[in-house]
Amino acid sequence: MIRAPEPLFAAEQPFPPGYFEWFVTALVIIPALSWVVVDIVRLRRALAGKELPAHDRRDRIFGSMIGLLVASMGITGSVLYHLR
Amino acid sequence: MNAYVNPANAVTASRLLTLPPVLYCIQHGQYQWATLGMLLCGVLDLFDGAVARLFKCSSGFGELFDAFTDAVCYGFFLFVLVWYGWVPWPPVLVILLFGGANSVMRAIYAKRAGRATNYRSFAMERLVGFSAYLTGVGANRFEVDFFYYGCAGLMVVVVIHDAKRMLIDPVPA
Repeated sequence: MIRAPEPLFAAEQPFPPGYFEWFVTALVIIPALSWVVVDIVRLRRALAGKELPAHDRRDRIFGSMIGLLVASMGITGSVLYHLR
Repeated sequence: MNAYVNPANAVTASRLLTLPPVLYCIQHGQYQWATLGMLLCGVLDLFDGAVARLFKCSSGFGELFDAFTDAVCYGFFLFVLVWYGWVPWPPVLVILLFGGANSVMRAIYAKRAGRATNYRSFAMERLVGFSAYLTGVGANRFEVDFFYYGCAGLMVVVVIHDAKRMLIDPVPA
């Protein structure tokens, strides 16, 4: 089922590779940073939101923590890519 | 407005049109065009909710259709990336299996609720967004192992967490 890989990126690309790498990096970093902000705000509201149903509060806390983890992975991966 | 045929569901359905061009681009090594096609699919995913609010055509079916289209589009992109050897298959297999299990659990949850409704999982929303990243990082060879194995681990954790909420906990009114 798994075919032997063809030479990667053999075809000529429309955009200069260096620029496109930074474009992809920006696509990863910018949403990751926005998720950090959104999830910190959501986490703080969930921790303070005593009037929320218990299951809703737990879901928001869990979802925020996963969101922060995902965002940190995005930032870390981008840094790793450019450090290599 | 009709719960099935409306502008929001049209935007959601249009995402499926990006599948053939992305497949063609990956087949021919055009990684930049493939990335842009995947990006278009992701952008349309952001817009369908806004369109639903703008035209006041939100519906339970629309939410389910959105979740279904997410699974089809990102699952297809990941499968194609594995097929052409651009990304490792073990984490993709884990992601697709647990994603499939998540879809089955959502169907069970809708049945338990007795209406066409989508279980709102904040964690899974983040992971679906992350899986869009996976398609882009896979197409660009962007720290593939780090992102793919990391996402697979997170998917296992989130699906196990959501399983209790969807299958066991009482359905909120």
